[in-house]
Amino acid sequence: MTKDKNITPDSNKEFNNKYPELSSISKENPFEVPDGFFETLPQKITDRVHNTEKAPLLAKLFPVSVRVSLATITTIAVIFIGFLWISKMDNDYKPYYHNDEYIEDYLLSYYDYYPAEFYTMVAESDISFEDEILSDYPDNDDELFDYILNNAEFYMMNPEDFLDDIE
Amino acid sequence: MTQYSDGELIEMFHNSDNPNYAFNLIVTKYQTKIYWHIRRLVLDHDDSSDIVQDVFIKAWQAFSNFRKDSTIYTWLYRIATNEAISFLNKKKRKALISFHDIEHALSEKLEADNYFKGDEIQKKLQKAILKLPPKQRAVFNLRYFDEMKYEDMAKILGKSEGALKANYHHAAKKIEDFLKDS
Repeated sequence: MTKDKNITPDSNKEFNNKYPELSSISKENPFEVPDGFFETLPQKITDRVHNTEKAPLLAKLFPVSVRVSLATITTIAVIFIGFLWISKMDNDYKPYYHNDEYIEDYLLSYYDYYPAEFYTMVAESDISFEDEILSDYPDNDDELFDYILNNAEFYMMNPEDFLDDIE
Repeated sequence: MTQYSDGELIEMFHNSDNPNYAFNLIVTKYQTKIYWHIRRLVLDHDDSSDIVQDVFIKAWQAFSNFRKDSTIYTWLYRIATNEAISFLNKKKRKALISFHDIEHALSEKLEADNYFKGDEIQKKLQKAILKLPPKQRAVFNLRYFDEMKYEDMAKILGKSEGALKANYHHAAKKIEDFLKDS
């Protein structure tokens, strides 16, 4: 860089007269740098140049359009997985009494001990058992009689006592 | 070390087997001037160090398109000025503060700067320069400290020589008034 040769002592004099306060201040550089800064700077720049040269290779392999597409797909996948996970959590923590299967199982197990109450409860509940399930249970007097005999035998009880018990 | 002319360096960069070596010579030749130009604009050493590296990286990336009839130094000064001003603008946006507040922050930084060896009057001058908008600060620094030709300044700053002359004298007057008043 060449300095302006038009800055002559005369032009300087003119400037100094116009701006005396400014002209009275030394033009000497008041700033310093850490020791060895300018000796190490070219190496720092070279290192950074080499690092930035590696970047275009990655950019060639994954151009902007591919990177944008990948980012979009990943975002959609994350949202979808999150939605499924939250839905699953919702199901897992759903109160048991909202689950029809649970109520059916509960009522059917109740039947083993309190058949009469079972029928009452089924009659009063909104639960509709599938035919094949109900067909396993006595639905007339003969079947009920057989059921009482079998269960009394199973529990080693007198049928009358068993009947009293379930009533 | 041999001091090559800009023309020789450009020739060496384009035609030798080792453009890295030619570029390294360019860095070595201009790093000091470019660094001080940036430092006078942003004041802080660490910021200046980062910016000067960015300037030469940008220069490296664009050097293959560099025209042989251009001068390297005005081109580098142009990149450096743009980088420094854009750094100050980014800082402004980041902090959501006005240039007045940045000037105040830089002024405080100057007070605590371990790498400032000037006396009180030189500190006062730096604070006066901080009162100028960044682009006018660049105009003042290039003319006052570097004594650069208006013709070169016009290439660097993209303004007409007449506008730059007026801008420089306006800046000098503002600084003179600040120095008188404080």
